[in-house]
Amino acid sequence: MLIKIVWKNIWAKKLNSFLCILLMMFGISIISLLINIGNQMQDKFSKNISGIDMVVGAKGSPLQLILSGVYQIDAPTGNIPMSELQSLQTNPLVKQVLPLSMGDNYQGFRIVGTTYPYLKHFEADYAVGVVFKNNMEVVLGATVARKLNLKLNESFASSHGFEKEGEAHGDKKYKVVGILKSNNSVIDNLILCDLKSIWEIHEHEEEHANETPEKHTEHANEATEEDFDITCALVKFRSPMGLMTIPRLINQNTKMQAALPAIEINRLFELMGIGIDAFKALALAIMLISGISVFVTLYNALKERKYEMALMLSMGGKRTKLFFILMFEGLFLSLSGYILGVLLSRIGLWIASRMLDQNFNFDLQQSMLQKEEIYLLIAALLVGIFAAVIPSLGIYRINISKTLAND
Amino acid sequence: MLQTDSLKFSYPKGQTFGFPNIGCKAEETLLILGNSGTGKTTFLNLIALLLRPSSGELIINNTQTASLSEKQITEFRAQNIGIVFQKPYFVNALNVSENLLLANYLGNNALDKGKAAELANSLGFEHLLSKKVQELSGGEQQRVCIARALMNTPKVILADEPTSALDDENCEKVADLLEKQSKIIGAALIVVTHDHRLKSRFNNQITL
Repeated sequence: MLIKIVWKNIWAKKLNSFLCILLMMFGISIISLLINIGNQMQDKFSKNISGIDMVVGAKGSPLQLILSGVYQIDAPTGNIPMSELQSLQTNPLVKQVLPLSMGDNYQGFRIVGTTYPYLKHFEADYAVGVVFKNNMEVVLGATVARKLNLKLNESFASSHGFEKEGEAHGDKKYKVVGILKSNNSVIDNLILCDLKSIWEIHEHEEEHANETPEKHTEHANEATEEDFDITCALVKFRSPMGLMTIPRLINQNTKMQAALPAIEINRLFELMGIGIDAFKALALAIMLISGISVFVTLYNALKERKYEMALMLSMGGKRTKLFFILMFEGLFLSLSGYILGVLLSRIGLWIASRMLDQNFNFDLQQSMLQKEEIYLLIAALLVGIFAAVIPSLGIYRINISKTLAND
Repeated sequence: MLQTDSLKFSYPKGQTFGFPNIGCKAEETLLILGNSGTGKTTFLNLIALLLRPSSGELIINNTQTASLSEKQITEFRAQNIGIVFQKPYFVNALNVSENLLLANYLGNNALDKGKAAELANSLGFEHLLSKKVQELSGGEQQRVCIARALMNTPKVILADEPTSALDDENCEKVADLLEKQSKIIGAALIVVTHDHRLKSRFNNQITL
């Protein structure tokens, strides 16, 4: 009966209740969506960054270098000669250098030339097949294999650039020798091959195209690795000493630039953080308005229902019981707003995931209730309680005989 | 069933009312008359235990009500007193039948749908049970109020100007129903009114 009274009272004020729930729903869903996207981005970004202390590449924007080199989402800054890495590789402070060479794609997925340690760095595990051993052999990331429906031993021709519509390298075909298990890192979205495969393709390319004479001569005398260009290299240091000295050395003494992922990503998050904070403030304001709307609804209800309340009191209703009837009304509104809000945020997440996936090959997982969302639940309930408590306390001030006597 | 002894009540502002002693046995009807300002409603509220007297005694169903605590009074009222207010108050969000059952619920009794249907039948509004209370006419609303006052089978039925807003025909009907129903459940009926139409009906009268 108590539930029935609460429900009937809410139903009797459909529009008011709807407004309260709607406001709460939007507030909650915006915050929850931001929390989810923020958490997953941070998770993905920091997972891919782990272990990489420095990225070297052509001069340009350091953030761009990090985004293109580590996350494979921006265009590369340019090329650097492999020979420049030599001194780095022999430096005692450097633990490992992972060279990367990009510039081609297949159906929008980047083909990255690298060496075996790059796969090992991301702890790549094979679903089927083995690592590339010969030229023109590739290993597919899990997402690539799933989306393009490529199987072992199938072959494909790459195209130039990072857009699907790039000019095709028709004469040389890649062969799939391995497919990786998904591990939620950047390699899920990559097609990996040996550095030499990339060089081989572009060498032919240049011969055919017969570009500028100088460039041609540069590649004219075949052979040693040092003559080739790569896009960038990921560097791990043996000790923090490396971090202190090497980036400066590179930036001052070579044509390359060194960028530190930790710093650049912090900068990126700081930039995004302003936007996210603004959204959060907006969402909190919406929640607060919802609280006020619950308050006004209940407050007016109490005024209108003063007679009802006095009547129920005269019929043996206890003030505590009536107090809880009003409290439950407030709580029901904020709680259902919360539940709908979380549901809406999941739908939003799904839509955002579809959009990001189409444009950036970056997808978001549908997640369970995040820790922050539990706090959000508590916040929503507090809003409900605070909005309901003042009108509800009015129950204790009702003078039955006076109210009903209609003085 | 009900007996008062030198009841007095003072308002905080200082106005003090003294009331004559009244008694009313089960199945009897007592009419309390008086012009406005004579403390009719105050008297009714005292008997209904909605106000507490500053002095004097009030015995209902063999219970000394002065000794009851605030909580006990609420329960005692729900069990023993059925009130028909001057205005037909309802919980507007609930329909007619739910408003009747509300009396059971608030009185901590089992919800008795059978009783609600039976009362609706004898008071002639069984076709209105699932309607909203706002859709009822004044006479219909007053009859629902009477049914609600009877839901917990009280020992005393108090009616405050139950007929003042009704036309002659409905007035007659409501008075009949009140008298008949209180006889059926063996309750004392006390009607506070200044309605001259009722004066001629009930001979057991007292004027304030």
